[in-house]
Amino acid sequence: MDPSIVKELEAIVGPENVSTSVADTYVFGFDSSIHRHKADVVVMPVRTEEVSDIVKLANRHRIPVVARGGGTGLSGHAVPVKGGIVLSTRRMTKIIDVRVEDLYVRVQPGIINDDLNKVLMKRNFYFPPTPGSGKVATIGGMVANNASGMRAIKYGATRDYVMGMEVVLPTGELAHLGTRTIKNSSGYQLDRLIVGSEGTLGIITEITLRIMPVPGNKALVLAAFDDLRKAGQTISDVIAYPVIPSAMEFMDRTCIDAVISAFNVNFPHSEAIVMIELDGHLAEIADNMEIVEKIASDAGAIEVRSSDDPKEMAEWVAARKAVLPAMSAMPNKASVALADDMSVPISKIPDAVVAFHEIAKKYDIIIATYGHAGDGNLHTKFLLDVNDAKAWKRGEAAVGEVYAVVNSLGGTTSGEHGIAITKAPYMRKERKDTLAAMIAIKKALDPNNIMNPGKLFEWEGLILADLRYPAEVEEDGHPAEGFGEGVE
Amino acid sequence: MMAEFKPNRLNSVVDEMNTCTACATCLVTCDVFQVLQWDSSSPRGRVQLAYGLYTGEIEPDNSVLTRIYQCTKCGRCEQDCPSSVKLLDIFEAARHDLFEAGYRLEKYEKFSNKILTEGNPYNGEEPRWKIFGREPKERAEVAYFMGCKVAFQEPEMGRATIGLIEHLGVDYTLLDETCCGAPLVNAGVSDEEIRKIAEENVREIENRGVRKVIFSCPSCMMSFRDLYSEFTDLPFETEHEVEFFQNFGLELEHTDEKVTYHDPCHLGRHYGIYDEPRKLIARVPNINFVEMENTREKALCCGAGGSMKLADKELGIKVGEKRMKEADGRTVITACPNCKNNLKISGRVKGVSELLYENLKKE
Ligand SMILES: Cc1cc2nc3c(=O)[nH]c(=O)nc-3n(C[C@H](O)[C@H](O)[C@H](O)COP(=O)(O)OP(=O)(O)OC[C@H]3O[C@@H](n4cnc5c(N)ncnc54)[C@H](O)[C@@H]3O)c2cc1C
Ligand code: SF4
Ligand code: SF4
Repeated sequence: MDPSIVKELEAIVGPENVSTSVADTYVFGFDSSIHRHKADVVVMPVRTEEVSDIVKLANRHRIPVVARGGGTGLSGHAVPVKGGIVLSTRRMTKIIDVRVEDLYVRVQPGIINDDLNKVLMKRNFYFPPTPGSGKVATIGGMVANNASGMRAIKYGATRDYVMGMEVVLPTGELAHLGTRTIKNSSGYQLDRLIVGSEGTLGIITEITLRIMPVPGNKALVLAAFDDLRKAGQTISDVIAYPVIPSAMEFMDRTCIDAVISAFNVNFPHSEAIVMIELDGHLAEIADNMEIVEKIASDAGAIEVRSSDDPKEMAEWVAARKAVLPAMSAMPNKASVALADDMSVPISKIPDAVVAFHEIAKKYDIIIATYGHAGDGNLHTKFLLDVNDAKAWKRGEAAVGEVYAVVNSLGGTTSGEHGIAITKAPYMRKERKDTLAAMIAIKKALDPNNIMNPGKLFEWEGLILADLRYPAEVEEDGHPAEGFGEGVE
Repeated sequence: MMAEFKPNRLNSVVDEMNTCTACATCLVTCDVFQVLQWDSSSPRGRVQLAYGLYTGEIEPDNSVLTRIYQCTKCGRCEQDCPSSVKLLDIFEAARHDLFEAGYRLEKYEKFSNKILTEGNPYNGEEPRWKIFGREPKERAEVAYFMGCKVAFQEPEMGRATIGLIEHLGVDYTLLDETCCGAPLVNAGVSDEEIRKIAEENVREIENRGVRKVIFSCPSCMMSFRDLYSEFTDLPFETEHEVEFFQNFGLELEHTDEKVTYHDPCHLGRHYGIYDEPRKLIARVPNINFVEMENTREKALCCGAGGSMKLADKELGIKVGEKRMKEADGRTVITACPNCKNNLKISGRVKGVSELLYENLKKE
């Protein structure tokens, strides 16, 4: 990086908030994905004006700018694949205004989801779309990825809560999108365009979020099945009844066996477990609990348990959360983020999981499937020997087949984690008739292509690039196999 | 002298580094990261730096060294990691390989040299027992291994411990001890040097026919239990003083002092010794005890572990300040001279033995 540009950055944010050190440029090149690429310089602004000055400078010199919140993106979102400036929002953590009477809160983008909720909970309100990474993910990162969590089935995704925002556009100008009102029909909903834009259209410097009252009581129903289809039937029947649970979580046999063997969890050995969370008033919960228990039994569950005891419920939830550590405990294999969050129509979950099992067998890898079954969003964990290039290539081929299945079932590449690098080739195929529009929007807003360049539709290569693991994986020039053209 | 960096010990923790899913859970509770807010100062960042050193992608320059050593080795990250990554092994391997190749922060180098040549890092010239005016006995049932910090920087803690032991009529001796070696491990000094120290200390104790060694410093105890046992048999029991004093009755005066308790990382998180110090404090009649917001497994770090203040003194003090805020003006009781030494910069602190000793009923 040209030292004169570093000097200018120092003049904008102060020398203590700029670093070109080996340690910082290296570490700020990683996120929670399989990729990494070194940054040239890291800056930590505090105020919107500073962000604007940084972006103007970058735009003048055609330097890439990559916004970074918690660095928990799972597909390489914040990895500066073209180098340049990593702009960390860790010092932009203010809650500007809490207006429960107007149902909104205004925040800076670097505030962490759980930190915001801690403050809101004191007023009996919250921002519902808590992701699994809520302790570390920032609101800016969540908006940029349209993140959501296990309660999306009832409470929606981040996009459903964004009322407005302030954005530094790629030219450095400031734009105020959306409003602070619940309703808004005033022209293009440009705030919605920024949601899910993965840092490619501007830097969000302030967000107005809708907030909700904290729901009351909770109960859990846990149903175990000896057949995936019976689990799928239960999921569909609960929703069609209709009972809209606050969460409906799913685990396949690979996950169940892993948590039982690693942590001796008191779960039935079975093909699938569905955990259904109900919330609301006590009477409503009691009614719904009976309905859900009956649906599960009728579908042929081998065991149904219910609880409203906070301790017992916490144990079940902990067991569900133990999937990841249980996977990590498997010897000689590491859990890697590949094809990690596809969504399918809810009723297609059993088809998808059966197909994933077959693909895992074919490529001799372990694929564990779990997820937010209530909204059709599945998570797969790929377990590979990460030192072995061949295992990676088998993994890559399996990813291609997984997405072929997902698309043939009418699903989508990413339900909540976003695209960035690891899912780019598959998103490109899935959305081929909207790519031109996306590219036109990007060009209009970011003429010099400085905002998080090289991601989404711009990602040219294969997915096993810039790996943060020791294996040397050669690219063979062909996108992953198995992805049929006949995509619906 | 700088040699070529070789990932000799990092080679043995590659699987641990690969197991890290980079989930960032460990960022939440690392006090160092919470103060500095640079991702490179987080546990995950340090694992990544260790990985970069292992693959040779990064040069071990000063920025890398500083980040690697800006860690108190409090173990919170390892405790909280959902994938059970052995972070402390990774950090120690990185420090070891850096030190071995001659990539050393100046202060660690000086500190280590002093320990290796003088037996302690604090310019202590006289034998420790002399400071307390008690010559070692030829033979005794119990030995008190006071450690460098107590001897040369927190002697009032030692005086209190010795006072209690004598009050209880225990057959005990002080020792001709040398630094336990923990700061050398923190620096990354080779096993060979540490083995020599281990053998020297163990021999000194063995020769006096001692059956039980008691410690004020959890890190010294950790050196004996976890490190020395790798090199040599320990022909005696080891106990922290808060465990030792459980076995005795003490008649104590009333006090209405407002106190709280800080869990030292090496005593609590590492050995699970949480109840013993609290039980001792509760023995003081009328004492006004309130827990801090984050206690036991969730206790914040004092900021002085891992010899971190050699890498970044100001950071250590800031981490300590953060901890002391939770005391909300109460006297902080703790069970580690290192914790006391750093926390007292930001408020009133005493050791458990000091609290007990000053409240002993006068006969
Ligand atoms: C263990 C784990 C569990 C997870 N669970 C979930 C889950 O349940 N649901 C879910 O949806 N996701 C989940 N994720 C993924 C991830 O946490 C989310 O995508 C989250 O929204 C990322 O937020 P972040 O602050 O870490 O963003 P980063 O990773 O730092 O950045 C993500 C993207 O947002 C952009 N960005 C960040 N801040 C700004 C800004 N101010 N302006 C413009 N662009 C910006 C970046 O450029 C990047 O493209 C999980 C991740 C992990 C590691
Ligand atoms: S908590 Fe464990 S797995 Fe997660 S980033 Fe930290 S070391 Fe890695
Ligand atoms: S040991 Fe403590 S200070 Fe060091 S990285 Fe882990 S949590 Fe942070």
